[in-house]
Amino acid sequence: MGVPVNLKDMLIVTRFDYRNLVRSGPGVIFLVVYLFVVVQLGAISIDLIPFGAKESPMCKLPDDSAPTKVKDKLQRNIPPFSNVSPEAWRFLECERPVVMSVFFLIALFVVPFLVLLLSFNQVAGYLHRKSIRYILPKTGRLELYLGLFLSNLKFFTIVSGAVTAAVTLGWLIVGRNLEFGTVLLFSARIFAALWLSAVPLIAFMSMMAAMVGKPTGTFFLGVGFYLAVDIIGGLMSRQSQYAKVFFYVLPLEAKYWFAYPSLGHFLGAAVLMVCYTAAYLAIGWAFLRRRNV
Amino acid sequence: MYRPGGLTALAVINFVIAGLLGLGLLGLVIVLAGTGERPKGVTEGYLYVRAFFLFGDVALLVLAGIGYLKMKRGLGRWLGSAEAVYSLVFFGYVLIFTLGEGHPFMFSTLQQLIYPGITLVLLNWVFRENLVN
Repeated sequence: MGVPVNLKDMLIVTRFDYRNLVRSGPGVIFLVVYLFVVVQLGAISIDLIPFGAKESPMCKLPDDSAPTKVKDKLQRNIPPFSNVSPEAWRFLECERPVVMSVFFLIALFVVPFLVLLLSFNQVAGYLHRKSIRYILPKTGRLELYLGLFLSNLKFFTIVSGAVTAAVTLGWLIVGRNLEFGTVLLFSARIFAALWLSAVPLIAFMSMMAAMVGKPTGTFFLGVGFYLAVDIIGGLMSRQSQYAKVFFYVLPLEAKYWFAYPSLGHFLGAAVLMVCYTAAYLAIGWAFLRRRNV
Repeated sequence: MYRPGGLTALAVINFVIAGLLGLGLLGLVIVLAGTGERPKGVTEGYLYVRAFFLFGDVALLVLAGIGYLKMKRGLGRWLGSAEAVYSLVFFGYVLIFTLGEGHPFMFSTLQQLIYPGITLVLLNWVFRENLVN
């Protein structure tokens, strides 16, 4: 049985909350932190382009050479590089501009965490301030819940799109030895991967907000859970291959599928991200619909 | 009048940056007093100008932060915007000096433009209606 959603009401909530989000504490803090981190990362990668050239010089070395062995050891032990398979790493290192690839992997590692800073205040802010009772007579709970999720998504899309465009422009200006089409297509892929890996985490914070009902509690619980899964999952997966399943509570492992060369991996990861988003939103909705507001 | 959370966040960020710049200023004062080691290839005159700029920036950041909290038009919006422009001028000076010394331009230095840029946009567009006292 489907749940009817009033799209018009939902979009009104999105527009209203988006205006508030830009003026809110989480919105401003996210804007400053995101721009500092990602622009700095992008700027460093632009500075390195003249040295990084088109591909890593390591690509041309034989597999049994000493530098290749050291590099492989580093790649196995340093996150976020250890999160991709040797096959994916070889593709990123040898068939794509290596500096852009390094930016891609570090951004995949960092950006989903930064999204948590933005999205903890969604429905929790309204619940905590008790202002939700004045909104609900005019708007349904589901429209409010989805509308707030969409406003966060809109804000993230605009900020990350602008930053990726600026960094791409830098790559194009500095990387004269790089092919224009390759840079543009790879940038589009980076943006799509970052966006798709952030969407489930916005939904995850929607769920936490609906469950906890207080912004501070949502923030600490959400960030704490994320770090716990990341750290404990990372430690456990070193002990046993089966323990990697623990990682799949959050889309921590699956986001690195975006780095694989094949389109099948990319689409598979995209479908998985949609499934995560739907699952988190559904669990959150199950809590919110019964909540006494 | 209700103060938006973003304005409070902006004030806190101002105080944090002022604190960090204050530490940098303290380091410069130690160098200029002769007790610390001076970085190579940097003249004493440049360090004095830098210390002067840093002192002004710290003072402006703190005053503007107070203005944000009190939602003042003069102390908040105008002084905050002046601080952002001051930071941009400071950045321009450091950039000219660095390039003049023969160092290559690094894109990572553009990071220093982020906060002044955000401040100018937020104060004069997003929070314009709130900074009216």
